[in-house]
Amino acid sequence: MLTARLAGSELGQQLRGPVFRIVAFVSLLMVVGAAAIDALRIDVVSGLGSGPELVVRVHLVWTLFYLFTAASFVGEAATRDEQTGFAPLVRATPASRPAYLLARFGGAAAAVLLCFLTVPLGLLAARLLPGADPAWAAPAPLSAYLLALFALAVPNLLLACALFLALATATRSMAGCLVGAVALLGLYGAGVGGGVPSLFEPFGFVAAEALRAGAAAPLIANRALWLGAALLLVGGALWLDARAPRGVVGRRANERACPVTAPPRAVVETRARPRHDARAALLQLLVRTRHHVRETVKAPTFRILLLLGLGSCLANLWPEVRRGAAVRDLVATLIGSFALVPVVVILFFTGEIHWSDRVHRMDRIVGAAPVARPVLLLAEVAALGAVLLLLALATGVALPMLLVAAGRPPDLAAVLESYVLPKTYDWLLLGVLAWFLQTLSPSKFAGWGYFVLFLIANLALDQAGLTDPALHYGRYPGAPVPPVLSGNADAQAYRGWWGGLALLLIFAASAKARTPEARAG
Amino acid sequence: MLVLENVALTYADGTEALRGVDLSLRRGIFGLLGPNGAGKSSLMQLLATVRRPSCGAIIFEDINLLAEPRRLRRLLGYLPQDFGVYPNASATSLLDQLAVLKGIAGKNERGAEVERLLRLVNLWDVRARAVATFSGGMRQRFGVAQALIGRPRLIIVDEPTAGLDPEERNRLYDVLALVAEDAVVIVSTHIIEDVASLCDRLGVLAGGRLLFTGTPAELAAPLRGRLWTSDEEPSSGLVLSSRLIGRRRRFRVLAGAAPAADARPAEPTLEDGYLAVLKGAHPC
Repeated sequence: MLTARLAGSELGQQLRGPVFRIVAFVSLLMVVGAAAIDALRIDVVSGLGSGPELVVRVHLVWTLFYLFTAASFVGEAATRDEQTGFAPLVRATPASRPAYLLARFGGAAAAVLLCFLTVPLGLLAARLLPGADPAWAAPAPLSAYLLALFALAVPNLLLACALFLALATATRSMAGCLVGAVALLGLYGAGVGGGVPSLFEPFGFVAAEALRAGAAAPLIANRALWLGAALLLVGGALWLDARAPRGVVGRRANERACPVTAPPRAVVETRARPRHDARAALLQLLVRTRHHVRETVKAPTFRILLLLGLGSCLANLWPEVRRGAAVRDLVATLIGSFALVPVVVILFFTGEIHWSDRVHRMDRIVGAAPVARPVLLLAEVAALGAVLLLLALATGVALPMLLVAAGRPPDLAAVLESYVLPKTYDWLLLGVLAWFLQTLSPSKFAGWGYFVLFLIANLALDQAGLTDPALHYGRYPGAPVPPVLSGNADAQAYRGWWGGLALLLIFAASAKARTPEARAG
Repeated sequence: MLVLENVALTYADGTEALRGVDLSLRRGIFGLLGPNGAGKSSLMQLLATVRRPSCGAIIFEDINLLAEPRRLRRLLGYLPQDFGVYPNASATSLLDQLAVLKGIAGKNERGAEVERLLRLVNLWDVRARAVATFSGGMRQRFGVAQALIGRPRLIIVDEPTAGLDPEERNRLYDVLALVAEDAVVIVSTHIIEDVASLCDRLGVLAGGRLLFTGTPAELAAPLRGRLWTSDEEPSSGLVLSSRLIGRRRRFRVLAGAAPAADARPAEPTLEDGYLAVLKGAHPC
């Protein structure tokens, strides 16, 4: 009874949050838009057949999109008490830990499932739209919707929720869930591409194909296996949670180690003479940049994302190196292999860097210091640039290492010129935009949301046939291959133009920060 | 000298946190008393330049805080009511970083300053440990240390003794008393005992208004001869406070004559004066 009430309370919490509304709206829009507007139909949902077949495929594809939703809802529910400092109060109640965690999980999973209902609703609504694509407007029996929802989508979403519950409990952070979602998508893509048997493919795509041929047994076996896996993951999460300490983690420095004594008068006097000139400002910029870079690089999320990206690079490069591909072709493969991780790093860490002082409740102390606000902002951009350069170096060095392993010369200069420097520049352009959006946002999550909207808008423009680089911030002819490789004569001009715009964004954010209202807000 | 003229603060949701606050302070310690939600922290944030008033003027020496906030920050030390720390940052590294932000550019100069401050607050022996692992009292001591970096001439300390034991409190106020010889120190608190022996002057803030400013003696003395204590429910006068002692309730009452049969004259305390101000019964 208590668990059910708590789960209901968690569901209410999720429904009241802005993330639920945004995701539900975007999900509905994407489904209806894909049906009604040719240009908005992304490739994965084109050519999916019609009628019942389309209904089943759309449900399956959308469960992959919902991985990040599940990571967000379940991760937040599982870690909210620790993040808000509420955990000691909860743990001092008689509520059992397993029941409490199950309640949080139940409520969050219910929110994910409720949100997912926008998919069948969107499909139904799309059929009523005038001018809808005939394949999408074709009738489908209710049984198709029920099968797609309850036999395919719901088990997939429950599996995802269970996985993210286990990750959140193990890592005690939402970042662990985000990284898990990225890893799952990457591994899943590699696995499906390699032809996994239907029983072992977790999201039922292959088993659903067998269903088309009239064979239900593979799907039933697949669902049973992976629902069982979901139960095991939930059990694992409960076990991990039960082992976590109830009270404060770690030994606190004891005041007995530092007994109070009367202060000698001499200690009160100071010889420090603060300066407020350009040298001091430069030092402040360097110190703050170093601080942000350290915080980012030390974060487990960053390290895991880097490892994932490196893994992808190595896996894609090695066969090509062995085949004797030219260095310029290998760099192009490297760029293709390491496309997602920089975007995730930019998305996540611009928010982490910009809101760090507020999150750690150091903002008032730093805000009362005589350091110019633009210096603090420039340090954020500089740190982002340094982190992106580090990413480029870390992945760039993989290619010379593989070349040496294959008995070929490392060609470091070519990698530096055609990958490390140009890609750092390209990523920094995107990073400046993401950072600028954070400076406009009332919160880190809103800043993330704005950047995601930018990414979706880019995709929509592409699908609408508006692919001119002039309409896409940061893009240039031949992108993502740098002009030194593509040989495109206009690319540098475009990159210069976007660089100028990025400088303007930095200037605008800094100028806004000078105003007393912005500083004292 | 710090001067506030008609300072007001209204938040975006319409809450009037401060209304028409006038104040002028010289060197020494000024205690700001008030109940929770009175506007003390809002006033401290204005003085620390992390928030801007809706109207009014704040002048420190020749610096107009609203026009030149950064110039004021060069002379400012601020300990917020509630602050966090960066994870995994040691006391030394965090103080060093804050010293850079306060303009101490020389590495040796900073090192000497960090050592001086950590010794002052007796955290030198744990300088290499992460501040995030400190106990509450140690964290507050660290907070005081960072507020004293450089030579602040305006020191704003917001509820510094919350969670500290009596020995820690006394130690903290010893430090502030020493630095107050060359600075204006404003300490906000809702604990009367904190200001009793420490502050040259004090103010009582309630509902965003400064209801009283003066010395501690001026707060309590006017009630002399009008304060009574009784164990019976009083039939007249204004009850300033009541407290359960054992199973009996004891009243402190402000009245011209004995308000109950068992009423006895009482010597007014700072708390009595404070409560009289809050209830609008102080003759100030």
